[in-house]
Amino acid sequence: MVKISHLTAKQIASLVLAGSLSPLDVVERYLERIKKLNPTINAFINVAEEHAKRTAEELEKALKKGFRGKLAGVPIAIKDIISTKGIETTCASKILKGYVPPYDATVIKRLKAEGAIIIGKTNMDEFAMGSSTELSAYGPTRNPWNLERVAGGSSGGSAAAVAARMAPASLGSDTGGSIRCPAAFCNIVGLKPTYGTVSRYGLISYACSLEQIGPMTIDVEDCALLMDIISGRDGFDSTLIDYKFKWDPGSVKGLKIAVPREFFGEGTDERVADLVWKVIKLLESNGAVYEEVSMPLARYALACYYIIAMSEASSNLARYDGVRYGLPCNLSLPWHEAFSEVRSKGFGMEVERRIILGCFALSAGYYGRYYLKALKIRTMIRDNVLSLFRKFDVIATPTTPFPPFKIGEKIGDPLSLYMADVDTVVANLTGVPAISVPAGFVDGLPVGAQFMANYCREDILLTIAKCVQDETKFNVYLPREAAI
Amino acid sequence: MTEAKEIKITPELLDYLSKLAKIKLREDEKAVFLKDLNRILEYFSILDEVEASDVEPAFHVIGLSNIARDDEVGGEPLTQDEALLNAPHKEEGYIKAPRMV
Repeated sequence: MVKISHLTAKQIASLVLAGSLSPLDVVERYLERIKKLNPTINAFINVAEEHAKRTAEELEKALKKGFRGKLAGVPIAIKDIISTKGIETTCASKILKGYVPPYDATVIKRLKAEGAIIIGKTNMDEFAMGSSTELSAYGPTRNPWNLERVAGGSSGGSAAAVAARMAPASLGSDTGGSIRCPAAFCNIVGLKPTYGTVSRYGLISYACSLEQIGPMTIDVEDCALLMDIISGRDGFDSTLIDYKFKWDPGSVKGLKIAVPREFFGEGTDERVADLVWKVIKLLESNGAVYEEVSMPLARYALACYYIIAMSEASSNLARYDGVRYGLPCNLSLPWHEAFSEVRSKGFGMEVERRIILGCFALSAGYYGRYYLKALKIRTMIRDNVLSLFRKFDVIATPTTPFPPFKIGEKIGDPLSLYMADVDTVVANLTGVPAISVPAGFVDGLPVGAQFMANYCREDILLTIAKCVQDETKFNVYLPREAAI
Repeated sequence: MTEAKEIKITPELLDYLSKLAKIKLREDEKAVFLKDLNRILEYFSILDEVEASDVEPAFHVIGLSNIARDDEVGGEPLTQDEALLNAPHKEEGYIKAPRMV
């Protein structure tokens, strides 16, 4: 018999709906795996054991009354930046330790309405600021494929949980590549949807104009299923666009792929570039056509991204003052001092660094040179990308320029850590959807290929990912830890 | 090409920024921050290569405009107890904050 923990979300739901599996059995099996594997991998900050069991029991009753949810009995791991009613949500920060949201994020409401069970909150870089999940107040997440290596960031816990089959699917958030980078490093599928297609209500904000919640899954079918459930207007996020996700799996025949040479040159590990080229050739052998192109402005995307993200972060993180929630401030001090003291105690160094640089980029005298300039170049990058989409269906690049690196290797050098996002930030700056698909292994370490498409063309990305999945069977490879 | 002079974060500027950000830095942190922040700024100066004076800034990329909802309470608002649930200091249904002056 196939192990429950090796099933996809879709398979679990269909067995639960058919009455062959009980939600409580599923939950208990996953909790057992989490107990066994999490002490080593550290993918979860908080395992919602009681909540998951209680929900499973309630679901069993609902199933008897005829409930038919698309995710009936499916445990989902949630990045600890997404608000979950009654379950502690910390953003992997000391400043939010003990914070229990009184409401669910829209994406959580939608998952629950389909019968999903929140199994726990996953580790991440504090406030999603990082590229390796080493910058968590709860210690780093280890890559299930090699425990000495990072799982990628900032949704590293969500990726590692799925890779090690501690959950069949998870949600992450992606501000500059935070879903796609860890998906690539852990050999799973990660989708950053078009900006404005998934509600950010209940997502603890880091950089509002860039971030999106998205699915992280074992296979492409689950990715489409989750996207279908979480996308669409909700009346709580005014940045949502009128869009309904729809995907009919089709063929890649005739699809036109742009391959910008800037993403394959200097700074990119040759072995990574070779694997991504193999994926492109594989698509070609299935009827797609590709052409090498130039994206000269890509060179400026990373600096643009960090200036905008830090500026938005400096404003968003002003709310952490220890008054309404979080680490308590000292009431005997004057406001300015109390506020400064609690923030210094509560924030980690990277968060402090980004807030300070954000304040700098927005301050009088420097605003034009940094923030405004970055926004202007963002316009140019968007025009550059959209001009490519007039001729091509997708843009193909590596997801990250290098394979998963060692824990501690880049931590002392922020700039070298920022470089992990060099291939992914274009999609966030422009708002277009992008997916990371497993492309193969370098010395046993997973590597991803990234595809970007025009606004609201997630369907094309999934069709491409499905073709890669059918040809390479990336979804059946398991890390040794998860093969148990 | 734009001519731009080099910008450095000095210890005085760092003090000012940490005051703006409401983040108190220890002396050892200041030394690390000065080094890191200046290195990051040096990297950001790559943007000086781009001539963009006539370009419109993209605050948002998908052409958003303001959407105002009807002036009605939407959904179920939090109760007072729920809203105060996570406040560390409270008294008689109010949140206690440090003195402002």
